[in-house]
Amino acid sequence: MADIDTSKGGGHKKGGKKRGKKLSTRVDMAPMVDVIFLLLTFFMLTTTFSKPQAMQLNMPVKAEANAEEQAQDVKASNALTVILGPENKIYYYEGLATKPEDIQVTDYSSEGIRKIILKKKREVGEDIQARERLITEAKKAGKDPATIKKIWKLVVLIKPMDDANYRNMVDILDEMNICAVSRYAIVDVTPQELDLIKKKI
Amino acid sequence: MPKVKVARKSTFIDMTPMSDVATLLLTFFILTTQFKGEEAITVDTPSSIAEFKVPERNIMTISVDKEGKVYFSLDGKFKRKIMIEKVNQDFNLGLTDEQIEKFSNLPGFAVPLQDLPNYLKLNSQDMQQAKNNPGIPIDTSLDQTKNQLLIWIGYGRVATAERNMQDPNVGKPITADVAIKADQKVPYKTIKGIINALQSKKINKYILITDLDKSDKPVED
Repeated sequence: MADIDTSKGGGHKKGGKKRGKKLSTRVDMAPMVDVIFLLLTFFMLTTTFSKPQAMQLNMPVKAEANAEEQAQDVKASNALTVILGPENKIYYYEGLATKPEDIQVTDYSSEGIRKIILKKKREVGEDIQARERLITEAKKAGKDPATIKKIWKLVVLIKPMDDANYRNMVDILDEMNICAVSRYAIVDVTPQELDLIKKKI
Repeated sequence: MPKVKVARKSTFIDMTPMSDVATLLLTFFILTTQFKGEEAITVDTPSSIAEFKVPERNIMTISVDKEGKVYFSLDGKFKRKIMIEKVNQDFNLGLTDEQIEKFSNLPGFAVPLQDLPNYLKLNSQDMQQAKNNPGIPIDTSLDQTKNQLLIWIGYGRVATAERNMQDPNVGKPITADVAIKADQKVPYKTIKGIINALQSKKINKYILITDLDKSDKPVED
């Protein structure tokens, strides 16, 4: 037993009836607790509480007009094209690019592409208050806020080059979430853009 | 002055409440714990701020390791069994019932279709070896022999729908979602091949499995 016997002596009365020795009804729990804690520790350490995190990606339906054609309905001034290049470089241009000077280079840091996206967002005038109002109205009407085209002006075209890696792709999608860009599409790089980038390098 | 007698107190500590709590916690952990299924390849996923939870059921996972090896897995033994039975029939693989059973017990695989009969003859130790798991051939083309992912995606979805039809708890032909779990270093070209294959099967919605990175928060501007 884990306890120290503190009772005083045997304590049976003299001359009394002979009784069987009273056995304690206390059960020593210590070994059980030991085992329980061992198991508990094991399960606590091996358990994976959270399922893996994930992001959802919706691609444009192929058979229909692809994203590039859709982008042409959008004003060129509302478009930002982000080309994911090799070696963690981002080439980007606003609107349309015709000469190598139109294309600029940046990186994935919060000072890089994020600033550019946020700046572009302000430029195209995504008015936060108006947007909030439209969202609440849409929610009241039971519609999905993402369907209201009016409030999402900025369109980001993401064009990963073959040399870009998966991390780059996830990073840029993440950046879309961080900057709350609602309209973006992953599109293939056009040969013209590749030419411009080559000239740029 | 008489000596003050200090009452002798028992050193026994009642462990019952503690053991109660410990048992409660233990029960909780036993019931909630999920052991990670064995995977033939290790994948170092990139991190993102996305907090979408991957569904546990009706999910096909396409994993890509840093060498670009593609691994396909489908949840549920019965779904895998239906899938392999169909593939076996349509592609004349000549698998025995035993091999079909063996396949349906594997969470996933990374073997070209033509090597599958030989792969299923191996013992479980040899199955784990890297040389026996060359990966599912993929390609940017939409040719089934070169881009075998097309086969598995197609049959995986059919099998999931069929199983969900049979399942008395579901009873609806729910198809599987597609999760892509790729290594950070995988070139985009590989991902493009996978996405092309998926899009040709009219699947335009994917779940990209990432690690959680709490350092970046969405900005409110």
